[in-house]
Amino acid sequence: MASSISQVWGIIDVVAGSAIELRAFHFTGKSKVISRVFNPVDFESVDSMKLAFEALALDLNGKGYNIYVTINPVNSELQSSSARDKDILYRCLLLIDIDRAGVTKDPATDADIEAAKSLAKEIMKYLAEKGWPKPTQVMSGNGWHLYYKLDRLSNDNDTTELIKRVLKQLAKRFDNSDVNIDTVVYNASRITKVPGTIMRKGQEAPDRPFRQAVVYE
Amino acid sequence: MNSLAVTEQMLRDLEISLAAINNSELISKLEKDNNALGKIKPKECRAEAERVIGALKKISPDVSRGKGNIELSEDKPTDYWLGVIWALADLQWKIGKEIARKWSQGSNRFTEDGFEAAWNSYDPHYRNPISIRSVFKLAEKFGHSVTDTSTKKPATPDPTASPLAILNRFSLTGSSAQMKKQMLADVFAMEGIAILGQWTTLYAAPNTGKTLLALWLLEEQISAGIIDGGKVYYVNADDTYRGAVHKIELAEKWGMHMLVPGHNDFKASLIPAIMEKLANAGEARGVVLVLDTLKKFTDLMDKTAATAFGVTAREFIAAGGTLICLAHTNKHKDADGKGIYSGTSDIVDDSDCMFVIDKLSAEGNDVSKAHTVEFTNKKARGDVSSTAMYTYVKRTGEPYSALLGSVKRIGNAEVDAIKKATERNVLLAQDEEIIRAILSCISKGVITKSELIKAAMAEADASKTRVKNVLERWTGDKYQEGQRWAYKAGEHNKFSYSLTTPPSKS
Repeated sequence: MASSISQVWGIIDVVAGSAIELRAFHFTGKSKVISRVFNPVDFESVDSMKLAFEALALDLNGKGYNIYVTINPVNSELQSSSARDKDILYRCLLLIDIDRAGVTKDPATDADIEAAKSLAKEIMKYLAEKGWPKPTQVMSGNGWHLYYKLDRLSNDNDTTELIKRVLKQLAKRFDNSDVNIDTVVYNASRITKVPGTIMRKGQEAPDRPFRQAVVYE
Repeated sequence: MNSLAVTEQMLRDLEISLAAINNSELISKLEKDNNALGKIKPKECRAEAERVIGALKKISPDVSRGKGNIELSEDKPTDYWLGVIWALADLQWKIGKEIARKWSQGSNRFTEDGFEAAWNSYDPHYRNPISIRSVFKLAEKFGHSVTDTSTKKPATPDPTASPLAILNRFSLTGSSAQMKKQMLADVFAMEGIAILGQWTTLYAAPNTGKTLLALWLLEEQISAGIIDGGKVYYVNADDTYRGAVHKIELAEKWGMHMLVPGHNDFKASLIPAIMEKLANAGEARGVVLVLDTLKKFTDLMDKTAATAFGVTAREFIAAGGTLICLAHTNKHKDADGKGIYSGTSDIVDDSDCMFVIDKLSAEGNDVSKAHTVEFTNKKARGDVSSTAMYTYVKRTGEPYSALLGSVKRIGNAEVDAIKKATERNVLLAQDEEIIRAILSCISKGVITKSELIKAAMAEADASKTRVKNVLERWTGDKYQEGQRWAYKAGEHNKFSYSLTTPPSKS
């Protein structure tokens, strides 16, 4: 199933007074990390900014870079080239990242992806019973992502610690021998894979292909 | 509120319900397999050995041999001697046999042959071997309080537990013996400056020589065998490639570790996590970590970041580590003319000890310059020096090792002399304009006091009081002490001023 890069905007909000950061890592690790901050005020419109983001992302992805974006809004007055936790205005997304257990150097197999998807469904069901809204699901290329919208939580130490503890408790409850919840994705300046781009890592093989990250409605 | 979004309260509720499920599952798992922990063999280390010996102290060896089991269903078990021996053998520690022998010797029934036979009768392939866990449980029956590291308390409290239970869990009463072991004697990692087991921060302006002095002070203690170079980790995050190479060469000579960000996959940002891991793994004790300079490891201007760094650093110190941070002063000086730390006050608040390093003088020429610096203590927990002074000589073209070799600690008498000289130099600089005017007037033949004051007032455009004070302050024959003119009786007992000759010209 192919996914358009523009589906990223269904996950990442572009709001007035904030910016987003595109970060690109070459899958060989041999090239410099590329970081570009997109600030709506630098463009004619938000739409033209989004187009510029998509164009750069696709161009770099074609050159072997894996493409990431910040999940929370970045202060538009950011001075450095890359957003740090203190540069995040507030938190608007909770990422639950499910990956296969063990060594993840090379691409996942279809069975790995299925196992991650199955656990994601289990988590979604459990959280729905707790009254949580429906998340956006993304097959990340090597695992499964669930994005839950947060009610503009403040970016402070208390929130960071709360999210850290929640991820740990979720992992304790749901991790199994095949797939795990990543418990380190709690920081405010967390970046995530951009859907519609191909994720490359390690050695590609017939049963371990490089895959495009895909949004599942 | 957005009904399609997760609120903070929803996150908190989820945390509590998950914690309740996770904890109850863990408890029932442990209940189902009450021997599970017994199957985990503690690693052979001093702490574990002391734990076993502590438990054995509560168990009398003066009982019947038994059949190799420990009957824990009895209130006061008997016939357990062989069971304890086998449990100790099951540990497969090098010192296990010696611990077993010492314990057994506490009984009048002990014979070496009997002990050897019992020890050798242990069968490691036995399907359900007795474990050290049974020995701890036996000790508990005789009143021993067991600290089981395999059931270590979690770092954060169970949010579903009662507030009183949480408070009790944090109580340290009963832990003094364990904490005493962690405590280090007042040994200096840097003589008079940094005590082992403390967090010391040294602040100085750039180019004061703080890296040079830190290295010199560490080398002094390593060479004297006071600290183990193999346990000193100097993180050089503020250097050029060339500078780093020179310092690595020195570190290699002293057997000290040097880490440089960007090399061997090391990043400065890893340091807080490493400190935390060292503390949690019980490996912090004896480690001396030097961070040069601190701003590369945390944002000193950001209160949240500095506080977070402080929390990690305190965990590292509480676990027996030593932390020495080098940091910058800001551009301002305090009322005494000393440097002021840069950044928020959090680092100073959290450090055990803080010094400010000031450059007192830099004398010489472009080729060779002698620098004198003073360490002034601003915060202390322990018997550190209130001040300490050092000199070093910078010569153009000389290698770093020569610069390091030029560092000298200055004794108390010299400290006084240097301080006086420094104060004098400050005054000379303040009075410079009037001194020039007086010198000029004397050179022109104005040599009587009243005429000299009047002429100097006009030349320097200064008040009479000011000129008079300067004239009197620098009167005398000792040029090196700042005296620039002398007042002597001449012909007809007429007093007049003449210039004091500098020593090189006399």
